[in-house]
Order: sequence, then C-alpha cells, then structure tokens
Amino acid sequence: MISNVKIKVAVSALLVLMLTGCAHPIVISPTRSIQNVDMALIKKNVAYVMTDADRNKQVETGGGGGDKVTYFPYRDLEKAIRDALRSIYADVYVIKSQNDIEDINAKDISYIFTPEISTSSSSDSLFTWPPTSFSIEMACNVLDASGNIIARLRVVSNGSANFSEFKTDFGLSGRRAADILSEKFSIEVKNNAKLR
Amino acid sequence: MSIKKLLLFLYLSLVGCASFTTAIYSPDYEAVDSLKGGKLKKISVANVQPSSPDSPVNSITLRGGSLVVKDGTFSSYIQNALISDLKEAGVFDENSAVRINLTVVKNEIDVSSMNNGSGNIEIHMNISQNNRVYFEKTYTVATTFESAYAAAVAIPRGQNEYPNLIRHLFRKIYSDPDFIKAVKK
Repeated sequence: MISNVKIKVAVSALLVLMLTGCAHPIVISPTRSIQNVDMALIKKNVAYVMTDADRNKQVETGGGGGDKVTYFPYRDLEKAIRDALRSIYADVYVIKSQNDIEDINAKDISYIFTPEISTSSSSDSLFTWPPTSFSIEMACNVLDASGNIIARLRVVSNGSANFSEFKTDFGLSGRRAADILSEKFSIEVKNNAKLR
Repeated sequence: MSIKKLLLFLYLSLVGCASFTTAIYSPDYEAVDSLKGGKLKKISVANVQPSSPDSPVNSITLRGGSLVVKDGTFSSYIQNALISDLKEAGVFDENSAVRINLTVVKNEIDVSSMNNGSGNIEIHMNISQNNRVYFEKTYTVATTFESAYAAAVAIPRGQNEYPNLIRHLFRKIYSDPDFIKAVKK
C-alpha cells in the first residue's frame, strides 16, 4: 500500500509542476475610489490621454515560485487616474490624442495629462504565485490646450499583501499600490501651483 | 508557510472550492463621457432585481469556486456601476421621477472549457416617469476570453472578466440611440 506521505508528495509535485512557469492573470484596479469633495473643485475641465491600444497593453512581471503575473496596467489604473483628477477638477474627459485640437476645444479642456505607467512585482514566497510586493511608477507630462508642457509629474507607489489577504484576491498587492498611486497623484496635482 | 497551507493553497488554486472576489468596476469612460452634454434628464436608479442573494443570477461558480461581490450581490454590483456612471456623467439624481429599473435575466461567467471562457449577461431595462413605464428594452452582451487547463490560470481569468462584461454591457446601453432618446430632455 502506498503511504499517505508518498501520496502527498506525489500530489504536491504534480500540482507544482502544473503551476510552474505559468503566467497568472491578475487585476490591479484600485480597491477604493478617492472621494470627490465638491467644495474644493477647481472650476476647469481637464483631460487625460488614453487609447484602446494603451488599455490593451498587457505586461508580465514577477510573481512567486518562479511564476509570472500578467495584467493590463493602463486599463486597470485608468479609474485610479480618473478618480484622482475628478477629486480636483470640475470635469474630466478621456481623449485619444493631445493633438486632437477640435475635441480639446469642444470640451473646453484647460490641461491635458499624459500618463506613462511602468510596473514591477515580486514575491518572497517560493510556493505561491501571487505577488507580495508591487510597485507602480507613473510619469505624467501635463500640457496646456495649445500643447505646451506646463508640468512634469512623477509618482511612485508600493503595495504589499500576504497569503492570508490575497488568497481570494490575487492582485491585492497591486490594487493597494493603485490606491496609493491615486492618492499620491491627487496630492501631486493639488500641490502644483501651475495646475490650478 | 507550512506545507499544509501550501497544499491547501495549491489545491484551492487548481480545483476551486474557495470564493474569489470580483474586481472593482471600471467603466468605459469614453462611453460615459459621451453622455455629458447630451442634454439628458436627471435619472434615478431603482434597486436592481433580483436582489435576493439566493437568486440563480446572483451566483457564479468558477470550476467549483464561487465568484462573489464584496459586501453585496451581482445585482447590487450592477446597480452601483450604473449609479457611479450616471454620477460621473452628471445626470444622477436619486430623487428624480425618471427612474431606470433593471432586472438581471442571465449572468454567467463560464471557465469550464480548457480553451475559451465566456461571459454572458442579459438585462431587462425599463424606464419610468412617475411610476409610468415609457421605455422597455432587453440588452444582451457576450464576451469571450482565453481560458486554460490549469484552474490556477482559468479561475483568475474568469474572476477578471466580470468587470469587463459589465463594462461592455453599459457601453452598449450608453451608445444605444433608443436609450439616449428615452432619457433626453
């Protein structure tokens, strides 16, 4: 008769083999929205540039146990960016290009934000694939309606999650980084006198 | 981490039996922006039906694991998504006599295939003013996505698909000329 130990070893080996080398899909959308405080809104319309090509850009970064995770940073973080701007300005639009003067004029846009996102992730676990640490860096030039750069912003955020937290939400470290990104971006914009 | 915990995690990752939280809704902002400036009426939203968590449309399983909505049901997820979009477009007013009433008829994410997964949703909408229904329409949306043999890959893909399915649903509604005509001033 095969011992229980041998069965466990065989099953675990099979499971690990089935998982090794996988690229696991996660979502890094924020866990919450920044609240919009109407009283403090700057009475200007702003836009950010994001295309479907951006939203469909899939990236792969590190997970645990030699595995990778895949996700769509622009699609997942659009809400974080939008909510941050929405907490500051009277109205926010998405536009496909900063060169679409007709659209910019039609929407009475004062400032155009052009986010560029890079991410990294890792795990200190040899056995589980969801990342325990996640980092997001966003560089964002801000243009006026004529296309002149009036500010260069850079925000870095980090999120972490442990096994007991991410077992039902595999992208939790990334989602926490997205929360922090949204908050930091909001503060960065609010504190920039050129963006009032 | 103990070996027991590792095995449990791997087992849950592969075979299900756990619950997985649906990611936050992120709208198609171009579709939401299209509602702005459209001279729309102020709109309220009724509780999306069926509200009971025991209703079949409020239950989705992914290879034995449950897909769940944090602090709610799929009906409430859809309701909150619609309210959030209407607020973003500046046309939500909870006291408005013009009210959108949604009933979920079908609500499925299927990752049983090793090749392709699918999402299907069917919503019946009516719009009333002072409780008199003046617009009725059913919206159906289907999405497909890559699935996988390993549940550790297929389940998260199904989990991630739900917000995408709802995004497609509302994009279809906001770009429907019949809907726009019904809520125009």
